[in-house]
Amino acid sequence: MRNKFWFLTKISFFKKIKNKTFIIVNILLFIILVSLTNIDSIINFFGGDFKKSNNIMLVDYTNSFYDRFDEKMSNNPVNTFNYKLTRYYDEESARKKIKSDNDLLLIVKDDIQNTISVKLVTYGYINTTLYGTLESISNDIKKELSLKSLNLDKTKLNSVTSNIELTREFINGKKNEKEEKNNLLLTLFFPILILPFFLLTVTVIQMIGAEINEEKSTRSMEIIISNVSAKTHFFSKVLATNVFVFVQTILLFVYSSIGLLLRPTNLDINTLSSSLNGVDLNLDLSVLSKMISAVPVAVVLMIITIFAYSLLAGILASVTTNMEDFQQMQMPIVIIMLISFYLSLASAMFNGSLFIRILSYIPFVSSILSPCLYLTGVLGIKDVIISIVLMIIVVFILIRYGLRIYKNGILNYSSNKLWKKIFKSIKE
Amino acid sequence: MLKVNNVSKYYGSFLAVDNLSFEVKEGEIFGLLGENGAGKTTTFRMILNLLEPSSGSITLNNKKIDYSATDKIGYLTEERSLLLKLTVKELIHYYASLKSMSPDKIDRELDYYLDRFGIKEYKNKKIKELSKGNAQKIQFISSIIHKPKLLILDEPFSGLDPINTNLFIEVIKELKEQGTIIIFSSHQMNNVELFCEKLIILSHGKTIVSGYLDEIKNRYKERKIILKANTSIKELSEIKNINKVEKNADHYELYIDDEKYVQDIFKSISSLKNVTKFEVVQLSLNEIFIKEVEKNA
Repeated sequence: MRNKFWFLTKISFFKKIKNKTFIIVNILLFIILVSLTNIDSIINFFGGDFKKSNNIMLVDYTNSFYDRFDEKMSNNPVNTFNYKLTRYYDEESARKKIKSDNDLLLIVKDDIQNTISVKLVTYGYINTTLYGTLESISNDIKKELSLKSLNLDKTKLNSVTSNIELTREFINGKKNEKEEKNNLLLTLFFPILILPFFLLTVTVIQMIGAEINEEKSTRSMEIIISNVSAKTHFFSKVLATNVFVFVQTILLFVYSSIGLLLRPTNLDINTLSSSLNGVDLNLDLSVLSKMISAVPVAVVLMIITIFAYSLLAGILASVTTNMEDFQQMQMPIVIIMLISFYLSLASAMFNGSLFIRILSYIPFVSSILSPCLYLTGVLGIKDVIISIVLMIIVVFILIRYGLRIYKNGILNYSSNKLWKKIFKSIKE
Repeated sequence: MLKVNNVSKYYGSFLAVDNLSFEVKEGEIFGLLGENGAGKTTTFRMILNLLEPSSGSITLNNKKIDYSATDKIGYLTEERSLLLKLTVKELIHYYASLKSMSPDKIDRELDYYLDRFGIKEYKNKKIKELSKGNAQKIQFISSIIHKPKLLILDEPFSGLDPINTNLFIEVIKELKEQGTIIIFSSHQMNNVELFCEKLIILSHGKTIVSGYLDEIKNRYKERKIILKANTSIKELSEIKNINKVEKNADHYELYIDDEKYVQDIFKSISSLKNVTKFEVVQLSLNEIFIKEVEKNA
């Protein structure tokens, strides 16, 4: 029986690996991941250029705008583009220089009502980040000039224009400002990191459902089950699918690593960050160390949860007779996954909320929410371990009662009252 | 020997099989007959250990059938139970490996049977590309490739033409000679009559007829006279002791309650013109089946 278990597992695993869809999907994934990790080089290759300089020409009729603009552009913290600033005194000759989308002309004039007016002349459309930066700096200068017209001295002027200094104090001595900022950053990052987990779980559910349904609908299930017990068959499917997911995860890492290795050696993280819409990738070490400490517990919780999802998918697939029925049955599972995914996204907004904390212990939801709250400091390691223990209990229940459902379900071809069938099997 | 001893099976409160008992010795072919929903498939599943009987016991050579015995059992399901995306070779390897056969032996036996059934060229074709008859041949090969000690055949001739049916019968008879216990279910009673020595007819889970085929037939005194003559249904119906007259393509079938009326009927019929055939036969298994099932409906 043991040999038959490994035989079934091997057959099921290689069936997935040799499948044309798997090969095509992996070729596509390889291309996508290598492309994503080299997106800047690709954009450069096709003519876009992160390092290409914007030629900003400025005609300043006010004689008080240019210097301020130059200073603010140099100090701009969200400077995700290169530029060259030139002052022109003749508007017409500056206009003649506009020959591409990288050439910009700012014409600044005095304005009685608004202090100054600024006109932006370009060849075509410009990117929104650059437009926003120019608008924001122009507004700042306009405010400064307006205040200056009130004849305020430099100190007062500085106090009006400078940003407020918000300092933090924590009654709880273990808390600090740096960690608070890092937590916020991690809350934003975690949903991105769990996206592969989400997709792999959906894959597990779909694969087990499809395979059991295929064997059931072709009636080959009767032949297989007459040779091995329902338990052996069930666990061979679960194991094969989980191993497949593990292999797929490794492959995703390999593709990403190849993509990183293929990057030019003079990797500029800021250039990459600019391609990711301004996300700052400069994580400090404390953030990284917290992320690293969260990895083992998160991985353990996720592995147990994927295993539980695969058990659940197998049980539900056994009572259905076709893929349409299974799609309906798996809807609650997908909804649970979506809820946990969105809760982890929203957890930053409701940081510390008792409701979110309670939800983080609930099996299945916990796989995403619990590590997310751990990273943000809402939960401690003990809470995550409680989530793991609860998940193990659910796995035990699924095996104990699910096997009964599976054994009765796989040979039952009635497609009526599926939930009634499930509850009836549990009682038997 | 396969022993089914007072076996009953309930699905909830529904009694699917009611106190069923029979024995099949090595080298015997046993017919398990019944209308749709009579309990045949449930019985097969209990023999295969797919379902646990609610009461009673099933043993093969005095041992309860469990998963250690499944390598000795072959099962051909009523409906096609083939994985359509696999090739013939892959599927047979899959099913035969579940019977603990080695890959070399599977290849040898597969080549032999594919050749015997005249479908050697389909070895690497996908199951979904096969005709209904060829798919049935593959299913049959998958159930006998490991030379089972117990073979369960549920409607084995489904989708087969007479030539291929004979080919199947030949193989089944060979297995019988080799001492395989064969349990057979079919709606084609002429096939059952051809090679089943013993049988049971089930109706709503209950045994309504059981025993050796000859014994069962001898229990019925009713007879059928096959007559070829220039006559009419009206003329034949007027003869005393004839219960029913049926006209077929080239002959009449006259039903009588007892063999003792044959002499009188023969005398009456001898007066008819151009009598070329007068044959008295026992009721066919099909007629017994219909009669008994209708009686117990």
